[in-house]
Amino acid sequence: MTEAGGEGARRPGGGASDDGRAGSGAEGGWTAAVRSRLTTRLSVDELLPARQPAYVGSWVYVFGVVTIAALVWVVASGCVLALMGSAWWHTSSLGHFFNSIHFWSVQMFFIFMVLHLWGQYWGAGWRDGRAKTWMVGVVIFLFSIVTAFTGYLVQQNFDSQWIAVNAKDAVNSTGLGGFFNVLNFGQMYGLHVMLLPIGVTLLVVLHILQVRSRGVVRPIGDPYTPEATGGSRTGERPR
Amino acid sequence: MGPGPFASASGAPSARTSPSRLSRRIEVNGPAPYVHWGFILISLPNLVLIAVMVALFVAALLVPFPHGAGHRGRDDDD
Repeated sequence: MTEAGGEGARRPGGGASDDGRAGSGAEGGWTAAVRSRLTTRLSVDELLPARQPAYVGSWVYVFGVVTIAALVWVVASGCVLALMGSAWWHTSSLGHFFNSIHFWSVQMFFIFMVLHLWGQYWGAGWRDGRAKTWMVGVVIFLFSIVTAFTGYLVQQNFDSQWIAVNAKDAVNSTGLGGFFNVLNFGQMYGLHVMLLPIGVTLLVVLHILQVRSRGVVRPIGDPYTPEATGGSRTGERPR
Repeated sequence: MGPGPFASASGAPSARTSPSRLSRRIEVNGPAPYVHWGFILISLPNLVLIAVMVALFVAALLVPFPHGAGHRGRDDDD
């Protein structure tokens, strides 16, 4: 890191300059470079927009946010299940309730994720520089499938044993058995309650930031091109 | 196969978890019926779920979206 401001650079507001900043622009090192990039790529106005283009007024655009809502329920109920343990979720009424909340919110998560996928596929949501947004969405889908699969393996009942014993042959046939042992409960549990949910959540956050940075893609055949809207990245129609 | 969603820990349905009228009509503790049409083989629950999803998607395209105050609000007036 560049010591642009001397002692003042190490003390926020330490008087390195009149406005309290240690350096600016190219002298600021990687922090200034990241700040500049974030400010350019993702301003607060784009992160939390007050208005959306008129074409966003469709139920199709609700599928994505419902998927996120379902994910919130999945994570919240999963935290409770992890805290209380399998004996609780198998024997007590409240445990059954949270187990069901976890199961059905996962069903909702996948149903609305697929509906969101359909909407983006037939709307060609990867247009106008949104290819990476589409790709991250695909990776989230794949991560989610593996996360759900490990969830079936760690139910701690006969279903999970039956699934694991059958799945081991399929996984071994792919050559992944040495790294991904479905009969290893500790490995599956660790993946299910920590690594994979963290991965899915981070990817979802990245996906949302990508959507916010470029705005919602215009419908196919929409006459209001970026040129017509004065180069607006959100494709907002002129008033 | 596991004890199923309506069985108690002992395996017998309890009064608290007794099957509902709908679940008595639809067998939920046995294997699902399958639909076999040419090379397509799919369980009835999965087929129903896909049909519901398609119906939901079509409805989302056709049902008008309610426009709130933000659509023609203060921002449009200035």
